Amino acid sequence: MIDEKLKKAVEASVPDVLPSLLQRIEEEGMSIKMKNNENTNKRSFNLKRWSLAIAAGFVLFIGAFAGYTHFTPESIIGLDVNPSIELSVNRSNKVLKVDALNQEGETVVGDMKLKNVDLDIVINALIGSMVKNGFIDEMKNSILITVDSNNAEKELRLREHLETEVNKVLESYSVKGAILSQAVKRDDAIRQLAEKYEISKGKASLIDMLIKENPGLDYAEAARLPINDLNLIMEHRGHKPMELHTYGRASNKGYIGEDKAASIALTHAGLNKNDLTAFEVEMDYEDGRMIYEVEFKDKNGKEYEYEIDAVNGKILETETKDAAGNKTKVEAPDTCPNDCDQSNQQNNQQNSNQQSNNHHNTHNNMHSNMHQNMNNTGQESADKNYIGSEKAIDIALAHAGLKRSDVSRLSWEYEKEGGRITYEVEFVYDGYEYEYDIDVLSGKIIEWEKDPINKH
Amino acid sequence: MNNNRHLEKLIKDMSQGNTGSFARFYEATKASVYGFALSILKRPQDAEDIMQETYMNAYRNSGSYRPEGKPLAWLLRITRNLSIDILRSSANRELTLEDMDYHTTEEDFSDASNENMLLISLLMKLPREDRQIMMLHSVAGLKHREIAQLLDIPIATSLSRYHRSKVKLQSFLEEENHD
Repeated sequence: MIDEKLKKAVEASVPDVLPSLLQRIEEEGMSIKMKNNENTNKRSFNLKRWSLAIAAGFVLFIGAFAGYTHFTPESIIGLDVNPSIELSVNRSNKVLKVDALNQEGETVVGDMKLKNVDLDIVINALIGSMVKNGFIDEMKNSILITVDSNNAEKELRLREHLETEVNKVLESYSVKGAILSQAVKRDDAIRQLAEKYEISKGKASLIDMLIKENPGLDYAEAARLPINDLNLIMEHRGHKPMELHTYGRASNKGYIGEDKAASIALTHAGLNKNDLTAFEVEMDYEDGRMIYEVEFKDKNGKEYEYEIDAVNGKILETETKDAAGNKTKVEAPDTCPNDCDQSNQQNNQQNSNQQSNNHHNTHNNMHSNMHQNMNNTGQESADKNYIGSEKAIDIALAHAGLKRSDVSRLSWEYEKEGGRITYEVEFVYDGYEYEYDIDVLSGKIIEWEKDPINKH
Repeated sequence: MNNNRHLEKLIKDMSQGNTGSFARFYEATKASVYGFALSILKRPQDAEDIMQETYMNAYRNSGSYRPEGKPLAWLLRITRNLSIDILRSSANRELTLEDMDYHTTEEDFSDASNENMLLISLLMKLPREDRQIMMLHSVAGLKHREIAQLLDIPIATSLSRYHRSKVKLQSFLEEENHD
């Protein structure tokens, strides 16, 4: 009890020195050329390939001892999408029990008889049923695998094996999955959270990690979201928790996208991007639904904030603040704008149904699937190198339509906000100060601002 | 991937200049490093300085790390060595480390009304070695065997001091709550 309190107290008190550390590293010129990193990445692919091969070999090995099967569960495996299902598995990887933890889970399990069946066959059947029932498709492609085992070595191998196995099944349905896997500890706090919000321990643990990385998110609201939305938020907000292994990217095809959200807000405000001095779009959730928060400022200093439904583009709330600080807030203005996309979900649903019909057994192409998985792992979840301050400066200048020789007081530094690390690039041109926040990994402009210099 | 293997992979990647891996390594270990430095030095500002130097040191020396499954102990040993250097350089060399313990001023934990700060300031009432053991076990999650190795003390000492410190800290907290 006191341990836990002390841990939380220290975690809450740690000063964040990462931006200055990164600055020192870059300034001291300790970063090594990209070429070296490419070599490292290649090596890590090979390592991953070997570890997967060993995991597969391990499963075959224990299969040979099926005669010793006994009825003691060694591992509990959780599968969460929106349906949540828990499997009790013995040391021979036979499934002893299947528990549907919610109504969607019951739909997935249906009347399938899965007791004493090999784990791989059960996984194939359950993931297949999730796809056929429309819980997984191109719009909602994220699945969380949670392994709780009293054997640490087994836990690791099982996680790696299940990642491969689940991805293999998804590929057989032509779904490019985003797979998250984690080990869950037998932790009372997580168990209580799971009970309180009526979700699986795996999902409770995921949300717990997510909120630790992104303080300010609401637990109760997060509990209502499917795994794909949680995954999207994690991707959007920057770093994922270290304890989580991920590959593949969460699908945002069910949503209108940042560009469309921006265009809806600007159209409503009667502005275009050239009229702005600051602009930002973020994905968030509210009342159990996904939204885009669009914020911008016009040349007169008036600030606009829009909340837009991420599914249909409906404006849920607008708030403006003029230069004198007068605020106007309108909830649910009379809007579904002209380009409001009511048909988005229907179209995507059709696509996923077509894909469901493409199911075919892929046992023979397991090797090529595994190869594909490993490439995904390398590209999507490896800890990538940052783009570097020079490139960030180039991106900012290109956006402003300027050259280095045009600007003065050019400077940059690392900045960290809400778990996301950015290069903050600043320069002055023609009486204006420009400020850009650029994602260290993707080079994407997260936020920019242009202010008259005499304001400072 | 288990925690130690993941940390070792991050160390390997950062030895190749991968700043993304460095950032992940930092995020995963920052509370352990800061808590341990604080338990030795008592002053938050000193602990922050040591935290900076620990990570710079770890980054520079990541190429020479030998993967033996103890990445956190490796990192915390850097923290310990740097902290002891600070104590030695700022105090009379003839004194023992325990004598050199800083007197913590109230300003160091000025926000002691905050529950977290209060608990940390109460921990600072314990002797230095006890504070270190508490931090290493509760915050860094090291086993007593690893703590014993890091602090160069018998396992039994780590165990008994840990249990004694827990009781003391709990009683300090109860006293505060009664006041």
